Formats: sequence, C-alpha cells, structure tokens
Amino acid sequence: MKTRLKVFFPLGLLVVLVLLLPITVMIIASFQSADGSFSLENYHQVVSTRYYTEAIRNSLAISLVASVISLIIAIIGAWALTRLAPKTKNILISLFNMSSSFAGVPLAFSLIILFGNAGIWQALMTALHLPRTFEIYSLSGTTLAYTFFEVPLGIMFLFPVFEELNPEWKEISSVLGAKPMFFFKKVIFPVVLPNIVEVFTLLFANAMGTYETTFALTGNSLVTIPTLIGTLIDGGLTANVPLACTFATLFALFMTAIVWLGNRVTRSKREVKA
Amino acid sequence: MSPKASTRVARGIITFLFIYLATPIVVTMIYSFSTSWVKTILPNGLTLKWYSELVASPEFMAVLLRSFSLGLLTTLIAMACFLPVVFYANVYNPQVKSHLRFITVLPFTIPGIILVTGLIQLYAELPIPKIIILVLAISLLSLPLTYQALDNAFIGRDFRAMFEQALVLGDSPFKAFVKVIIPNIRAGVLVAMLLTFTSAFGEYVLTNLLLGGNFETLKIYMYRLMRSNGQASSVLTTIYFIFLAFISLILILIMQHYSAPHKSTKEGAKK
Amino acid sequence: MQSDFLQIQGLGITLSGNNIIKDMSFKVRRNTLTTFLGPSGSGKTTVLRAIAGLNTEVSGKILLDGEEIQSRSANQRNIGMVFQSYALFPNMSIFDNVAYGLRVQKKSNDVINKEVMAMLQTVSLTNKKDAYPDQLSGGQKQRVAIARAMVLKPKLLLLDEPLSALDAKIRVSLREQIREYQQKLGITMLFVTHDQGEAMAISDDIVVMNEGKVQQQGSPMAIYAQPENVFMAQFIGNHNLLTGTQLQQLGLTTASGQSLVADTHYVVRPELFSPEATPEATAIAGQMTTCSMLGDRVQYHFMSDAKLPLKVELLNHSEPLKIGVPLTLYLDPAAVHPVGPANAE
Repeated sequence: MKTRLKVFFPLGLLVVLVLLLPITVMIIASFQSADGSFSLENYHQVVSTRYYTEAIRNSLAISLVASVISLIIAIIGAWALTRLAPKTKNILISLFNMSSSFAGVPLAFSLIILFGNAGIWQALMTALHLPRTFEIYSLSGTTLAYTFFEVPLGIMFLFPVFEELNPEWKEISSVLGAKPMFFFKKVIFPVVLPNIVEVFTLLFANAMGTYETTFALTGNSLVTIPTLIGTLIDGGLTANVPLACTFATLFALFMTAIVWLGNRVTRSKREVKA
Repeated sequence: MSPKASTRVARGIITFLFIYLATPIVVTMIYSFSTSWVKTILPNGLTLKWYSELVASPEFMAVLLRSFSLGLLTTLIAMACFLPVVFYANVYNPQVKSHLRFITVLPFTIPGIILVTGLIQLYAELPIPKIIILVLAISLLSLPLTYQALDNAFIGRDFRAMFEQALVLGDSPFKAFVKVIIPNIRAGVLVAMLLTFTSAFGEYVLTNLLLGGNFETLKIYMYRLMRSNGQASSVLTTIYFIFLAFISLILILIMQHYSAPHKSTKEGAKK
Repeated sequence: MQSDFLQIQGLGITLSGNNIIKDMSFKVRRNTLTTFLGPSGSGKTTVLRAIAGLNTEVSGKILLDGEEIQSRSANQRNIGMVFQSYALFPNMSIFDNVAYGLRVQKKSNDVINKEVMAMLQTVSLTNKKDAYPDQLSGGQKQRVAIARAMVLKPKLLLLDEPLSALDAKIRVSLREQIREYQQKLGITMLFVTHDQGEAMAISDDIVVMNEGKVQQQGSPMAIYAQPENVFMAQFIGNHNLLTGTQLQQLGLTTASGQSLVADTHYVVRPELFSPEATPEATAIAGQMTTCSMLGDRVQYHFMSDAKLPLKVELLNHSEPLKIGVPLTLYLDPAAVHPVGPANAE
C-alpha cells in the first residue's frame, strides 16, 4: 500500500492541481452571476442570446460535416494502408502522425497561402476567368481545414483495428462458399462498426474542441464555441470568465457523454465476444 | 478484385492522400523561398533573404529558447508523473491499467480551451506564477500521449518476470528497477519523451490564453508574424515543419532499430 | 529430518481480494525433485510464487530447512526461481545474466568468473557466454535461466512451467537434463507443470493440486496405481471408471475379497487386462468394437456381454485381436482399485 501511494503521488498531485480543482471551480463559476451570487443567468444567456446559439450551431455543423467526411476518407485510407509493405506502413504512420501535429497556426497559414484572398487558388481562378467559388475564411473553408488533421487522426485510430482483422476469416468464408459481399456484410462490418462509431465520436469531439486552427484562420469572424470561449477570456472589455465557464461546463458535459457513449458501444461488443 | 489490383488501388489512394495532406506544406515551403508571391500562379523569383532575416532577428532565438524550455520542463514533469505509474501497472498490478483508461480520452472530453477557463478562474487571483500553472497544465494535456508511448515500451517482454527474477536473485526493488527495467525500456522512454517534447514545443491554446500572449513561444510568434509579415511566417512554418520531420525521422529510426529483436521473445512473454 | 526440508503449513493466499488458496499443507523432501502437478488455473503458480515471496498477502507457515521464511522478502529467502518466460535480462550477455546473483552478493571477480564458467559448462553453454538472450533458441534460453538460478546454490529451486514455451522434442530432452542437474548438484527442486507425462518422468514425488487443494501426494508409482479419489483417477493416465454395481455385472471382485460397494467408484487401468488366463484372474466375455494403433501399444474398445464398454490397451507384440469376434479377457482382482464415492464429477 505504501509503494502504491508513492507511485501515484506525482500524477495524483498533477491531476488535482490542474484538472480536478480547476474543473470544480469552473462548474461553480458557471453558476455565478455578474454580482457574484448564485444564479442560472449564464445558462439562460447561452440559450437565449442569438450570437451564442449561432456559435453552438456553427460548432456542431462544422464538426459534424468535417468528422463525417474525414471518417469516410480515413476508412478508405486505413484500409489502403493495411495493403502496403510493413516498412512503408511504419513510415507512413509516422508521417500521418506528423501531419496531425501540423494542425493549428501553421496549417491555417498554409491554407491562407493556398486559398486566401491573395493566394494561389484565387490567382488560378482569375487567370482562368472563373468566378470566386471558394472562400477559406467561411464555414465551408473551416470545415475543409479541419479535414487536414481529422483525416490523419482517423487513420491512426482505425489502422490498428483494420490490421487486426484476421485474413484467415476471409479464406474460411470463401471456402465455405460465401461471396465477398456476404463476407463483408456478415463478418467485417459487424466487427468493425463499433470501432468506427468510437472513432467517429473521437473525431467529432476533437473537431468540437478545436480552437487554434479556427482562430488562426478566421480571427473572430467565424464564431464557434471554442473561439467564443477564447473571446470571453481574452476580450478585454467584453471579457466574462464566468460565462466562458458556463460554455466550458456545457461542453465538457456534452463531450464526456458522447465519448462515454462511443466507448460503451465498443466495450459492450467486446464483452459479448468474450 | 485480385490482391495485386487491390494493392495498386491502395497505393493510388495513399498517394492521393499524401498529395492532399502535403500540398499546404509544400506550398508554404515554396512561399518561404519566394521573393514575392501575391495573386500569381507561380512565385516571381526565389531567394534565401527571408531565412537570413528571420534567423538573424533576436526575437527568433528568444522564442526558440522559450519553447524549448517549455518542452523540456513539460517532458520532465510528464515522465516523473507517469514512469512510476506505468511501471507499477505493468510489473505489480496490471488491473490498474483499466482505471487509467480515462486519461486517454481526456484531451477529447476536456480539451485545452475548456480547461483554460477553470485554470483562469482558479489561479488568476492567486499569487502563483502563471508559468508554473502553464507547465503543469501542458503536462496534464500531454499525458495521454506520454502514457501510451510509455505503456508501449512494456509490450513484448515479460517485465514482471524479469523484475521478480532480479528480486529472487537477491536485489532490492530499486536496484532491480535500475539494472533490469530501465535499460530495456530506454527506447520506449525516449520515444515518449520526444513525443511529449514535440507536443509541448508547439503548444498554443494554453500559452496564449493563460499568459495573454506575454510569453511569446513559437506558435504565438508564428501567429503574430502571420498577421504582419507573411514571408517571415512562412520561413518559421517551414523551420517548424523541418523540426517535426526531423523528430519523425528519429522516431522511425528508433522503432526500426529496436523492433526487430523483440519479435523473437514475444512467444516466451505470453502468459 | 529429511522429510521436513520444505514444509507448507496451513497456507492461505489472497490475490486482489479473492481468497485463492485456503489452508494448504504439503512437504518436500531434501534433495528430491518434487513436481507440483495440476490442470491450468488450479493455483500451482500462485503457491510457487508465495514460496518465493512474490505474493504479499499470505497466511500460514512456510518452513525451509527448519526456518520460518514466510515473513522474509523475496530477496532474502535464498530460493532460486525459473520462470516460464525465461525472464532473461535482454540487456546483459549470457555470462552477465548468470553472474547477476553473484554480483548482487558482491563476490570477487575471480570467484564470479570461476563459478559462472563452471555453471555454463554444466548446462553446455560455454560457447555462448558472450551472446545475448535474443540470439539464443528457447531451449538454450531456459538453460541459461536454470544456470542463473543454480549458480547461487539456492536451498530450493522453484521451476514454474519451465518447459511449456518449448517444442515437444526439446521439452523431453531438457526435462531429462533438469533431472540430471538436480541429481548431480544435489539441489532440492519444486517443479510446476500441467503435463502429467513430464511429472511422471522426472519426479521423486508428485503433489497433485486442483481447485486450490492438494488432492494427493506420493511417488509417481503410487499416484498412478493408487489414486485416492475420482479426480486423481481421471487426471492421471487412461482409465476405466466403474461403480460397484457395474463391476458386479462384470462378475468382478476386489483383491482382498471385500464386497463391492454399489455407489463407490473403482478404477481399472486399461493395460491391466490380458487376453491370457491366469489362476487368479476373472474372465470377462465380449468383443472388441474398435482398435487404434498407438505405436508401442494398441488401444481397443471392448464391449462386454453385460453391455458395459471398457477401454483396453495391449502391448503391440503379437497379431492384433480381431474386431467383432467373441473373445474373453482376463483381469486380476488386484487391478481393481477403489477411489471413493462419485462426488467429484
């Protein structure tokens, strides 16, 4: 028991200082009105102010679209990755890992060079006398930006799942006379589906929590929950930390529920298997 | 689809993905070597001017130093928090692992932008240097990465039996840890340290919001340059990219060097 | 006292809240190789780890050479241990692996050199002294692990399924080598295995364990010929398990002429039937239904006229018996061994 205490002390201290205490304070502050008394005023503001509901709508829309598109590309990409030679696989995984850590300011900047007002894409469109069709600072532009880190992330989550599928299953299935489609529907799909659901929840949560890329790309012109929280903390005169805490509390609650649900899907499947 | 054809399709898909993900990076690199590249399809000319300008600026070195120290401190704290726990979970009590699972989803349920609200609310008025809180918070958010990388170091060998064998041969637990465990998880620990360092080195959200931009690290500097001087920012982005590529290369080399002999022992390690 | 070298008295073990072993007692004699035999999951390894000092929650007494050791930590028991996964230190050469314990004891380099080389000689690995564990085959690795434990001349050497990760052929040759080392160096060994053939082949004594309890302890011969309960009869060797009623239907009696108890089980080993009559033997009429070749022996299924199937094994030295032809088998009543009521099933 004594060793156990010593072993967990540094981690425990860290978790208490910068996770448990701040989260508790965050939740308490979310119920704090302008004069410091307990009230539900902040929560009321979140649902009744148009600007705030827009932030929530934007966040949900971007995250949902970006994670669905990225998930589809990631499924295809992860499958393709399993077909390559082992050495190539390892190198590519490291590259995907790297490109997902390229997210944020560098990614936003690169995309502005590519698609920005003075960027190459616009020059190309002007040269070809085509109308300006695509705006990187918009909702759809931000969604595109998210796919640049969501796709590699999705591949890294899904690759181990696909890699574990037993190639003998396919052989057995065809020996038993099943067509590839039948095999896919009856074996691969049921095994992989829970993992895909779990990966989807993680991609969605990751998109919902993205601040750096959105902020660097659009400044404060496109409002999402994270950039709104950023403004509420950082915004000088308009700063309102308790309101930021309200958003954060709602966010944490919602995301914990979603990730927990995603986790449950895989876990209950595994228990049935065992 | 024959296996050969499907491999060809797979190669095509990966090549496409690669181009898609690499294009912004490549464009930024070319931009950093361009004399000017505004509203044209190709740059006007090539130059190294922007590199010499940025590297010569005193800000650049100061920024690197700040990010480097942040990365180093975070790595040390993350190791101090997790090395004992991961060792304990793998050698004494594997059941602990299921309780540590919550850590792996932490950055998804409570990302930096959420955590920062609580940190500001709690520590804004307290007389504790914000930089300490920053380092601790970055360490916390890097934990999933550190944890997984460290845990991977224990795969492939029966460390529990090795540790117990050293005890039975008469060593104390601490000496057994130093003589038998540490030398055999070196590679994994190194990987964990590199990953943790990289993530802290490129931290933006917490540093910016917690310290209000007063502590100018790499990403904050990059953002400031991006709004004022595109060329300089592209140089910094390229340098950052080369740094990431370099770290990836080291990781690939470590994995290739250490993964080969492990396979022969896998069978013996099964319990 | 020779029989008291290792004594386990009322041992209880709790693992993560579960009381796995309750009130277990057995003994190991000095300079013998005792096997701890039982099916997987019977708790053998847990007991072995408790003897080595690797479980923390242990009650009862463990006496080694007259001293109580249950409260000593693992590094102060002077007990050697060999693990199933070899547990060689991959960062050290074979020499350094074997020298590990001697270095902990701060022996001089001369002594270390001499003793390690002598030990490597014993396990025929002198030419591998500078190699690293990952360069060795499984059998070689396990010999290094055994050498590493034996070089400290432990009072007791514990071996936890040391052969189960190896190929069948190496398994047989290494188990003979272990027996040889044990006799040559005069070490007391406690050897855990789930393989009854292994246990039979190398042991002086066998302790059979199931569901956390010692079922029987004795020489291989006694364990085989006189199983004390139904579990033992079924676990060791091939068998015919018959109730008293069934034996009566076959016209059999026991050796001492005791009357058969209807609901008691009796075991009859299949190789004890004979096609030739002897004065004491009882005749059983019937016919063979199947026949399978085992190499040195032939195994038959025999259907008696009383409609009771029996397993029969005969040495493969003459024409095999014909299938489906009426014939008579003979069984000495001494071969019928009572094993107690039928509760274990």
